[in-house]
Amino acid sequence: MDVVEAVQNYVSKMVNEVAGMKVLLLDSETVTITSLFNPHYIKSNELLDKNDDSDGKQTPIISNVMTQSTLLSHETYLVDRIENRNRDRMRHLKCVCFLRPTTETRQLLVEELKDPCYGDYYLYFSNTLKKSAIERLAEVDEHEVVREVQEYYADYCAINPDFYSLNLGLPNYPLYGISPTSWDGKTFQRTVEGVLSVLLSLKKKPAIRYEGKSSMAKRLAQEVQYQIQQEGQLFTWRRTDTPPILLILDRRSDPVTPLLSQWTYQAMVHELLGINNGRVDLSEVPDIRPELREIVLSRDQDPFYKKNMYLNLGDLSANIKSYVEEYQSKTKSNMNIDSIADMKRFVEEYPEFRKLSANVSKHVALVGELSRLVDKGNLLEVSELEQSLACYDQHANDLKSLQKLIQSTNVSENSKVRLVILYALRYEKSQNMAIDSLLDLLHRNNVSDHGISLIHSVVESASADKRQDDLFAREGFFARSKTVFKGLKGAENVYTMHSPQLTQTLELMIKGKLKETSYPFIEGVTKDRPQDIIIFMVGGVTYEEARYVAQLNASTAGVRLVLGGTCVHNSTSFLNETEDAFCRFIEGLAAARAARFGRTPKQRAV
Amino acid sequence: MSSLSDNTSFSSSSTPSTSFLATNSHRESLIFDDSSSLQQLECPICNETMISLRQLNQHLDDLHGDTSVDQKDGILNWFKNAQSTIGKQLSKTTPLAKNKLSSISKDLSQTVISKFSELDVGAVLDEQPDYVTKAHWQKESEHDCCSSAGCDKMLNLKHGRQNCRKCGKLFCDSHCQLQMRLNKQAQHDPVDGLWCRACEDCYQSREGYLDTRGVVRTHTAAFVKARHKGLEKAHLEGNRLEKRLEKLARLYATPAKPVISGNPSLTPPLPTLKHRRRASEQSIVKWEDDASVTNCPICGNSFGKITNRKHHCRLCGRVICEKCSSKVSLNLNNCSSESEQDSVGEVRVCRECRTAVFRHVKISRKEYNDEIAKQPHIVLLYQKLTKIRFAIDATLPKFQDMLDMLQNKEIVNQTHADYQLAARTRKELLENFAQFDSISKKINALPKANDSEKREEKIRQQVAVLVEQKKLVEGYIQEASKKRKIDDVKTLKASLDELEIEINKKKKELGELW
Repeated sequence: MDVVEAVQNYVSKMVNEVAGMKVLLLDSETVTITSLFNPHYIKSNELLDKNDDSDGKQTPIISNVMTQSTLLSHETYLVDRIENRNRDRMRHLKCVCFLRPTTETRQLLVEELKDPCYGDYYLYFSNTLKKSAIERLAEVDEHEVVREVQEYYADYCAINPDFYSLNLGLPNYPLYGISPTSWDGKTFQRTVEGVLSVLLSLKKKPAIRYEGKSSMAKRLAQEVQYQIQQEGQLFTWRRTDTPPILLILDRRSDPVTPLLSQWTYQAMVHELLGINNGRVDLSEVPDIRPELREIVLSRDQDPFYKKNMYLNLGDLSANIKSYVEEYQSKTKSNMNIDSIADMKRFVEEYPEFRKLSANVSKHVALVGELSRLVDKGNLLEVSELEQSLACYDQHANDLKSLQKLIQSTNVSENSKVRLVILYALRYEKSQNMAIDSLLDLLHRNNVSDHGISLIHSVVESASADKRQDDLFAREGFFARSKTVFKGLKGAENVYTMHSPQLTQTLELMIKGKLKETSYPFIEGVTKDRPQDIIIFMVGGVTYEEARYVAQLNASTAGVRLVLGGTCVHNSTSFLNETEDAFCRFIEGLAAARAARFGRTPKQRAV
Repeated sequence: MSSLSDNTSFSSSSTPSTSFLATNSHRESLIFDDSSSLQQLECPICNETMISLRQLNQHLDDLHGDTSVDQKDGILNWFKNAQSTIGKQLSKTTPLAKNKLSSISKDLSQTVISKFSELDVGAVLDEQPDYVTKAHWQKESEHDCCSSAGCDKMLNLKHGRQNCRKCGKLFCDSHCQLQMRLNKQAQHDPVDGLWCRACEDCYQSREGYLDTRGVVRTHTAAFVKARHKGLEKAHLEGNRLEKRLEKLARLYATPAKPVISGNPSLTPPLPTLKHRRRASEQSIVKWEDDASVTNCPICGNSFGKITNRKHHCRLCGRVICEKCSSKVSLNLNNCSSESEQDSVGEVRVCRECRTAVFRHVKISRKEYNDEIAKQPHIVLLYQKLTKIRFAIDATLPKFQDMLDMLQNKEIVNQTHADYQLAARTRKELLENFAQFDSISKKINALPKANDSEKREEKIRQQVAVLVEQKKLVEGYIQEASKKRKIDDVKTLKASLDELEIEINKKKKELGELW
């Protein structure tokens, strides 16, 4: 169960099967395959940029899987996009097309086949192809250039071996449809296809469980089950000891995790800077060197990143220090060249050294920027309060520090809003909840109305009665004692005490103790302990959860987990999505909100 | 005393016959050595300590209810052990009483055992044994190590001692925790197998467990079939239309049909000829009624009385507009060759029929095939290059092996057969390398002309012309302003601006190409 390897296999199979000189033709969604891995390969980066400029609507699906050199070793000498109509005619080349079967790409392919640029065409589609589409393509293939038509189910973004995303986000794929509990039609379709392709690429025919309270999770579960039955032939392979589980969850059950500040490398970069298809935009950073404007973070090509992606900032800084020291010692050894042997060694080691030097400067710049942002936003203090809000019931203390932080000037508006949201979620049912006075305070400290409306939206969308499990484990004596123990255990680091709801769910599931009443099966029931679990989170996952899943994978023998979701959230994107959904339903909810929050803050301020 | 010796033989649980029955016999032997076993009841299956027999019963029912036969074996074994320890304990008391008691206990035990065995037999006769075979289990010894690679733990009380039910090897507790379904022959059986303890290797070697090749579905056959069908249909349609075209050609070739009298070819009254033609044309294909059509079926433009007139396609009979139709020259011998020679006349044909008829002689298609056949120079070179690369890839490791072999055997004699073979291979390799080098140099030296460069060249020329024009116009402007012709200067300036815009546009295009 390794999604990166699964996609890699597909792509290498594609370029392997066709012998001879060839060109790889991609569409706007499959294009990231090559671009990610080789920042020095300008052509494909150009392809990507062109794509970004020209048609703003693009969701590249496959990433992290192929390097330019691997492609070259398979005699793939050219990579181009099918949208580009000005391709040179090279009839001596064979063409490998890897496309997502959408109406647009089909039209482009029809045009391409009417006037083919290359000698032979091998068509690979990333998802199931309709019969009508095959017929349409066959009709236009008058030159009889098509040699192969196949479906290779690599229809998702593989980020880590146990982490995938469908990259569905605003503005092209809004999550919610006509109400905050229903799917947007297009997004739903795409999600179903994505989940099916994950199952097919991993060869799993799962028993589906879903979060009982979420109607969106249920709908998705039903549709996936229906599709599996429809495509019965595709899903027939050897039986496993116990059926793999597809667990469909809803982000709404855990609105806390995406709101917290992150301190582990991968999660932190995404929270503060944003990782977009493995690339990080550093152009906003002051005094950045031009070659570091945009950097690539890839597990496969960057051993330092692979080693440190799950470490927190403290450990990371120590590691980066030793990394720099290693670099320095190498520089020194390169300085003194006294003999011919030294020269020879230098020449041999130079390429490796260059690579190291580029990598060192990349990570130093990145970590430097991270710590600058931490200082600027006073994030340590903010995070301490966040963790306290997320983990403990200490109303008086929390309220006091919250008020202090709202009044302080070096905390960003975004952080203030997030803190108040966390407070509102934590003490939603508490009697002395002082949300009104906090909203007042926010208003007086020049937080925009936009920010304040965000608080309403999130609390509205993820209030306690919409969540599946008791997120804050407040009720009952046992729950309370558990939190005490949790507190004792996690005392080592104040900033990483919180563990996502997902961990608890998964631990129960691995033990075979996840309640069937709250997480029902769609069809059939198994009491066995699961061995393979595929998780899909409707409404997006976070890197924090990815880290926990990676930890679980490493620590539990015999159980394999793969996590994924509609997209990868950081706090900004999460708030944006919730807000987008709730602006649209605002009229219907105005009444409910008035009842909840009393008068609007503006009126109170007067 | 014979009974006693029997009993003691029971107690030596390290003999293989009993050891494979008990899951953790080393513990038993330890416990039975200290003589408190009557107080300390142990579950025979999991070795959990119990306070009372009742609790043990309860425990057996609760936890080991499903593996009944396994359990029976275990109980039997336990019973024997317990009995032996009783004997042992008794041996400490007076020999006489001991003798008596032991014989009693032996009788008792034998009856119980036989009862048990009867039970067992009954169960066994009904169906095959319901447990996974243990015949292949690794025998225990004093100094067992965990069989997991990289784990050298001694198997003892601390680390535990487990047999993987599939491969039978011994492992420590932590390396034998996984569960998989096995059938009675201890083979993996995902459907009806029982859940059994397994080691990591067996767990992962289950078929398909580490499979990372995703599902693939090919539609090639369906595609080819659909394409074939489509092509056939188009071919038939083309043939049909071609036949009609032939008929038309014949019709036009015999223009003057002696219909009524005299020689009509001399003075054919034009309208009549046209009418007659029309009638015979309509006999080949039925014409669509003018009145029923308001828009051209191909482009959708509406017809008018004067502007967009109605025409009939002579091949399919449909009403079409002028734009969507063209005249095709008729040719007696080879209708669809489209050549102007031997033309006997022209007929109007709609666009669709035209492409259908001339499909198989389409120029683009011919061109296309030619282009495929005519491989550019680089391809030939490249093919040679890959061939040599393959050869090198194949011989290089062989040569390496030979060298190693020579070195190992210390063959320095140049006349030795192996030595000569190696020398030959070396020569071959060197030749290949040289060829490889020369071909790659040739490829490097090839002119880099391709379409985009040609396009670029063209745009460059255009830019050059435009710049020249600009200079000229600037000259004119100067002249005009010298002569104070203000109007002329104005118009010239306007054209100069236009030129500049054009130049910029072209330059931008150039930039894009780069």
